[in-house]
Amino acid sequence: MSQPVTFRRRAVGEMDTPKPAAVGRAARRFMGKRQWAVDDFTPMEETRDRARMIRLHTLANLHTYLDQFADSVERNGGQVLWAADAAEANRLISEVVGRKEGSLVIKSKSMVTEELDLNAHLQAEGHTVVETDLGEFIVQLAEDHPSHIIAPVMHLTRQDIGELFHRRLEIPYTDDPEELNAVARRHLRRFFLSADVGISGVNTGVAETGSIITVTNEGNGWLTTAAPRTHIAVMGMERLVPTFADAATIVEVLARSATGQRLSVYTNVVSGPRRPGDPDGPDEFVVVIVDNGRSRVLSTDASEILACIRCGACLNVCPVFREVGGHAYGQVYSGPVGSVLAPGLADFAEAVDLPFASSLCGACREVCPVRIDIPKLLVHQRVRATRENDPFKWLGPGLALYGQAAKRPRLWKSLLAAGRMAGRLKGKDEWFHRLPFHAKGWTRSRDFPPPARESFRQWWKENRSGT
Amino acid sequence: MERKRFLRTVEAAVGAATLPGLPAPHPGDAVPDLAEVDLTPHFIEAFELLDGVVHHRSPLEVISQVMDERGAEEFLAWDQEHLPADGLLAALAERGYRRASSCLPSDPEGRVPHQMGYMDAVVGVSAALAAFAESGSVVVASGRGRSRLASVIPAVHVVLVPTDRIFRSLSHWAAQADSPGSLANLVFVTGPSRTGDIELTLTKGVHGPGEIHAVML
Repeated sequence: MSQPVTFRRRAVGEMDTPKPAAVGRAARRFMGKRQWAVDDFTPMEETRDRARMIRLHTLANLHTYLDQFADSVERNGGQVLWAADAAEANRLISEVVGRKEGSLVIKSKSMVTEELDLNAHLQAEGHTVVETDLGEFIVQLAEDHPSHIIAPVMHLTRQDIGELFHRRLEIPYTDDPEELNAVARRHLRRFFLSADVGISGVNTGVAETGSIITVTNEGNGWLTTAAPRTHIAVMGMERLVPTFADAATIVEVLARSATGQRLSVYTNVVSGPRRPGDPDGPDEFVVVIVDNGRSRVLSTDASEILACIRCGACLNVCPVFREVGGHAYGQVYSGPVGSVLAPGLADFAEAVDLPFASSLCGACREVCPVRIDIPKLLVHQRVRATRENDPFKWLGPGLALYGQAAKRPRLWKSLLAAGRMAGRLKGKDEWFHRLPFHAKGWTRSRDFPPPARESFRQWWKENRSGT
Repeated sequence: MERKRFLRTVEAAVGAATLPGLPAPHPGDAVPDLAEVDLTPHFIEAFELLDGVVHHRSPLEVISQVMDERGAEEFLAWDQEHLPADGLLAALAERGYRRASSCLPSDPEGRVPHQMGYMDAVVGVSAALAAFAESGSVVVASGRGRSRLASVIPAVHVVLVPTDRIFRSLSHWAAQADSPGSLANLVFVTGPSRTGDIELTLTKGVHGPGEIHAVML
């Protein structure tokens, strides 16, 4: 394979750490919380259908709705900037932030800014960037990367976090979540109140009203967009719906699917800068609309993936994600959605093996609130990967070798006998916990069954022949 | 990049897209179920499920109690004309509680020093434009005379909820909301601030208020 570090290698590396166990536990807890109470006024299946239709309709008319959205934002007194790629987005954002030297920038969680590597860019220009989502703040302190769309520090234990706070914030060690939480509140509060710029992501934009909606449970999204003089909202270009009522459907589905809440604690609708006479709020509101590979994805067989509302449910149900954790994917977006999206957004060759990191079991499709057929899209990406740069070149020679052996009965029988011999040497019907050479990958995460004591042909001869 | 060029690229991509169900019509407006139900008990049940505290006493008594319990003398609040409780602020002043200013000074340089004054804010008082029975949410609509930070900065948020403004759900409210984009900031607040980031252990009050009190009017 052409890329330097493969999914396989990263996954094996990750599995040697305690991270996957923590991720597995957390993912299962998340799944347990997903719920849609039967007595809700919002009927589950109809609302999912509705959400799906809204998202597909928006994608099928995306240029029209983006145009309308930009008009609406400007009508509200906001400004819209257009970024074709990460470099342009970073440049545009720096121009706004850089009006003051050494700006203090606070951020609420945003996956698209991870894609841009915005923090590193702004820090290199001498600005201070503080992540305010508790999980993202911890990630930043640890100089790590988020491992899950919804729960960025799924991979860390409370002891890890206690140790980190002790070291970086110079407080006495504690691993009590309540106390760690209180420390973070105090520490981050002064950043909220004194920041020059707040940068948020966008869960969904509304074309009709020019609003951007962020959802958080902590309140950092609201604070980020309420306290600083300037609010910059960075939006992936597909994160849009036509009307306010459509946005209501999307956030209702999102909260239930992401964390099993009927609504997130703070569903924050921002429609422009503060109006004349408003006592507080930002004086300046800038939306940066980012393409960065999305139009390329839209024009391929995988375009349906852009209907994703980033709830993370497909990660939590994915048996592969649960085993290896988010970091093994080596991309901003992990799990089933990342395996389709990443090869489209990134340089294809960089993430070409991700679509193969799935058993196509279909759990992601079952759980997806907008019913994206993720397994089908994974297969599309596999076809493309194989066409462009076959990651399974070894399969050809491997099968040829097998063919050679299978065509020669004597060789075949002696190979089987050798296998049985190895099994007998091993002991009584014991499973192999470790295989040598190229086969050792198999036994890293599971045992290999012992060969039968006799071949099927032998058994047949003794028990059935002549009857 | 220039808007026109950006949109041309998107349009070309839309043309090549292989989306299921094309031409992908919009589902149309949801038809709200309008059967007559008393929504107040639903709202209270959902709000309490989130650890919100519901009061049926006068706002004056509730706010006084919350202030006294914490030894607080100052509070943040919306202007009287936006609070559906006549004479509330004057009555609080009479009892000796001070309302801190939540209006930014006109000089932009004054913003940060002003806001830093909120570091230890304890109580904030605002009102609900609407409430959702299904989720136990309140709609906090900020604007003229209605500070955003008054609702999100303090440790305790007291929100006045007129019971004739309770809707079934966000979708039901949105279906009839009149120009929801005309205010710069609307927030649907659903319980106290919470996080599960540390080993998914639920803790409250990480950034927003850790306590929310609804005074039913």
